[in-house]
Amino acid sequence: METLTTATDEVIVSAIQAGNHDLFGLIIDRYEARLKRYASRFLSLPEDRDDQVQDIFVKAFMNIQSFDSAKRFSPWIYRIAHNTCINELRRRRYNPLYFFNADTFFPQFTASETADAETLRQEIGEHMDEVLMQLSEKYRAPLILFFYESFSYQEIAEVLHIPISTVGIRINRGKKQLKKMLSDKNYEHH
Amino acid sequence: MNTIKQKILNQINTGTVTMRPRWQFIVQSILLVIGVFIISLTCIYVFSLVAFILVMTDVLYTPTFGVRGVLPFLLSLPWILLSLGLVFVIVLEFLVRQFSFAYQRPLLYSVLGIVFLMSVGSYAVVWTTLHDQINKTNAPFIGTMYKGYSTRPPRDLYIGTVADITPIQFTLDDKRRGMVIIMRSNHHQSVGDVIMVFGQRNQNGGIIAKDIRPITTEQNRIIPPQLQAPAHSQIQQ
Repeated sequence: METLTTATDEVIVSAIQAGNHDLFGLIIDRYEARLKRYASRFLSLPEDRDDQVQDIFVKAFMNIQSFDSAKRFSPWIYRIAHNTCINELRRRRYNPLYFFNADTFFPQFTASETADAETLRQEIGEHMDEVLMQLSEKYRAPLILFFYESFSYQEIAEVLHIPISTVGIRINRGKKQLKKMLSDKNYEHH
Repeated sequence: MNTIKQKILNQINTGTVTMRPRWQFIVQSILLVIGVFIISLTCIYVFSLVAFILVMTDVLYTPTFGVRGVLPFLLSLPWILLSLGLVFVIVLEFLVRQFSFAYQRPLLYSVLGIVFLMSVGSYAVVWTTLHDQINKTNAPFIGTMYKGYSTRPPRDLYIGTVADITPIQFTLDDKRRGMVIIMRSNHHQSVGDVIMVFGQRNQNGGIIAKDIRPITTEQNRIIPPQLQAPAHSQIQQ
């Protein structure tokens, strides 16, 4: 276990799949704070967030044999986290399922990954967390995964099960909406 | 040890939370692939049946009369089968979207891919003798269904061989309806011509022809040889 503390997530998960269940504690150590932060962008109450994070880890453990260790582990566990949070949101309030969405239906022509987390932070400033919560889930999730979790477009597409080109479109539209919200509220930019 | 970690490890160690075995996921994946395969075949069967019906009933010829042929064409389509096929396409699209090659690309691509494959598959099946053989059987349900669809004549379209000509009308040996009188004075047909007539029946039972066209070799090329009716085999060159 000592030698595995510095190992990659994928190596640890392979060991868990092979039957070393106690190593799941290492995965919890690595992801608990990150998943709490992610869940808190969707669920405002801390106790709800903790319940959901626990649920995410339970689902991850139960389904860990479906993980392909040739791929990266973080998009896989974030996929579980995203679905859990969205299902919880839908359970609590009216949050319709969109069977047709023009963003995902048509091909989108978007620039490659040019958005920079630091630049956006400077543009939007300290009120980013506040306005993010007001953004629709459709734009909030890719923005969080890109700017807070440093996921690539490809990984965000894996988490959200949407086309890669749509990820770029949603991040750009989300940024524009964030800036508009800030200007509407007359927040000071830094 | 924090609370969440402690709770989860306790649940794992006491066996309250257990890992699903790998074979379950493998079976799940195999079932998904089998599901895609079965729904694809069903889709191809349904759409090829629609194509077979269009060929057998000559509904395919109605759009050749331009705008006036569109409404009879739409009214003659087997809408129940088409709706059933559409349901299968939606189910197929839903299943295919489970694969990363599909969900990482726009929905339009997978929809177009499915439509293309179903069209090619259906067209290929129509050129086999599958539907023709089923049509000729007298199976209790499926045989009746085939007969019901394939013997229904298209609205306002009459296809056959010119049998007799007078100055104001001619008699057409329609392959489904038998001899019908076509009311048209300025026609250029001769006895033995294979033609299609677009028109409506008057109160005396005669057909007031709005348009008359020969069946050309080009039009007949889209029909598989085994489905060509006797009238079709005498097409004008």
